[in-house]
Amino acid sequence: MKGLILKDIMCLKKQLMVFGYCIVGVMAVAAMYVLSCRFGNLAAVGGKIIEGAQASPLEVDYMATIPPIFFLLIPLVAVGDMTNVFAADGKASFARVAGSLPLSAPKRLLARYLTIFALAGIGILADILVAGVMSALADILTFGALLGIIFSGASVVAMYSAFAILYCILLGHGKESVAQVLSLLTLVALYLLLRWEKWKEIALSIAASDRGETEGEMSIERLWDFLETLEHRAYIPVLCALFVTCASYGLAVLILRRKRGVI
Amino acid sequence: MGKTESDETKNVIELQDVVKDYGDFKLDRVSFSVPEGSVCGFIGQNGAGKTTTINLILDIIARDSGEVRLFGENVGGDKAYLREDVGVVFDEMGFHDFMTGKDINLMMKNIYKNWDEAAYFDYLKRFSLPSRKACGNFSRGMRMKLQIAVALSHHAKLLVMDEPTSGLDPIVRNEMIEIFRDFVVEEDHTILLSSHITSDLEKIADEVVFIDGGRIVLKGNKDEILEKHGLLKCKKADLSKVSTSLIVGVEEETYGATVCVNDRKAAEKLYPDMVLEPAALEEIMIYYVNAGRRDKGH
Repeated sequence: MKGLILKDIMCLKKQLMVFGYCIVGVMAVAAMYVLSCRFGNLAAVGGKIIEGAQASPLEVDYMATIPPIFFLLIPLVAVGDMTNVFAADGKASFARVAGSLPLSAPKRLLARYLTIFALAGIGILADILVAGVMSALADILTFGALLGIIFSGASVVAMYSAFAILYCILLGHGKESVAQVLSLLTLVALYLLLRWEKWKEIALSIAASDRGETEGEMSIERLWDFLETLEHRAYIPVLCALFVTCASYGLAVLILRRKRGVI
Repeated sequence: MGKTESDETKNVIELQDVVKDYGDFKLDRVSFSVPEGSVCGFIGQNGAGKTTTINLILDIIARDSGEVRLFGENVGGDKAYLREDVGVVFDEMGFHDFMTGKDINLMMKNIYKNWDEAAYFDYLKRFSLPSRKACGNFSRGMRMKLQIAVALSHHAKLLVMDEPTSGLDPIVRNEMIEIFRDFVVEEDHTILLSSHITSDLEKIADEVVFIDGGRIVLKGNKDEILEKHGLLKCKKADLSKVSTSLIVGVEEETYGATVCVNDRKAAEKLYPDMVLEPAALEEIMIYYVNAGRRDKGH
């Protein structure tokens, strides 16, 4: 099984090279950003917003937190797309070779899921490096909060990959792009479904705020709740990722019983 | 009670009434076995069902019904370990173009329990294959040799090969036949070699299984098949004299006819005035295919 994981990682060699450049770029931009927030123009802009009472200091803090989240997501996204492995296997007609190996289809599939974790691990390690630089240069976010963001991000990417594998198995070779789109849609749909009440509340709050009703503003602040989840309750997305990965694996095994020659 | 043939010989591959229906093509109740230590030639024209049968033997595809046994055990379910002793060579390489010989070694040594790294690199050297060059840049012959190197480097007892010599020049084909001969020197080594190039099989095969249109039309010992079949040359007018039970197929020419017979000795006795020639595997195959087509036509 280890051999197939190594093969999958070899398939992503180019992607991993891009990932290397990506890390260097993200580290440079993140360092510039946190320094600017602490000592430069962004700090001055933040001060002016607070002075002009356009936003509270807490909201300015929240706003400053958003870009680092994206900085940390970039390396994870760059390394986490498994559909390229399916495309490479399809192009080489590797499925027949894989079928002749002394590994059962569920084990071959498990190897691919383990590759997700191996890649997520690489992404997490690189992100920890970026987080270390960010937390050392400024106090926008603590290292602990950054770790929370990293694990939340890695969980989202892992869920995306788990859906992508399932769709690739279901649709077969040559449909990797469709699998990518479907995985994203499923992820968004799942999130909206699980947080439906919250999104409804926020929508109502925005509408109330537009009408000038005061209780609306109180609720809008809850929009920032997701930051709290990312920073301090990362175990929720991590558990979700584990559940989605296990469910995706179980379903994919069931599909493979009827449909062979994909993995 | 005397021993039956199956008691005496151990079959490495056994297929019993195997059916696989794709709708437009059906593998219909295929049954044959490959005894241990033999080279079995699996003959048939393109699209006859050879690759489907091989995929079923390796459990790459699921069968609709019937039984497939490898080393005496039913394939399917959680029997992937059976493939530990099987070396496989496909008509197309199947490895990613970017992979080098070294990459393949890294992958395979982490898959096969009996992977022999030293043997693998020895084979690469013997076949003059560079270990650091991406296999996407290899010629067809080199790709086939790479697959054979992989198939022989985990101490497999059975080699299953799907058209390994097709598209290769005669010199490389001969070289490959020599490699297969070396492999079967060991008593417990067996080969199932599918091909439509019958001359290769005539050189190396002990057993022959002939498939056409998803059905096994002929199977048995190669020498016995060659001995039994013959080509009877006669005048067109004499065709009616030939017993229909002996006829596999007839080819009418301008001045006469050639009849492929399935019992040369009987034909020799019955028609001493007619010329009887030995038939090659390819000729036998063509007569069976044409007879099958004629039957379907009726």
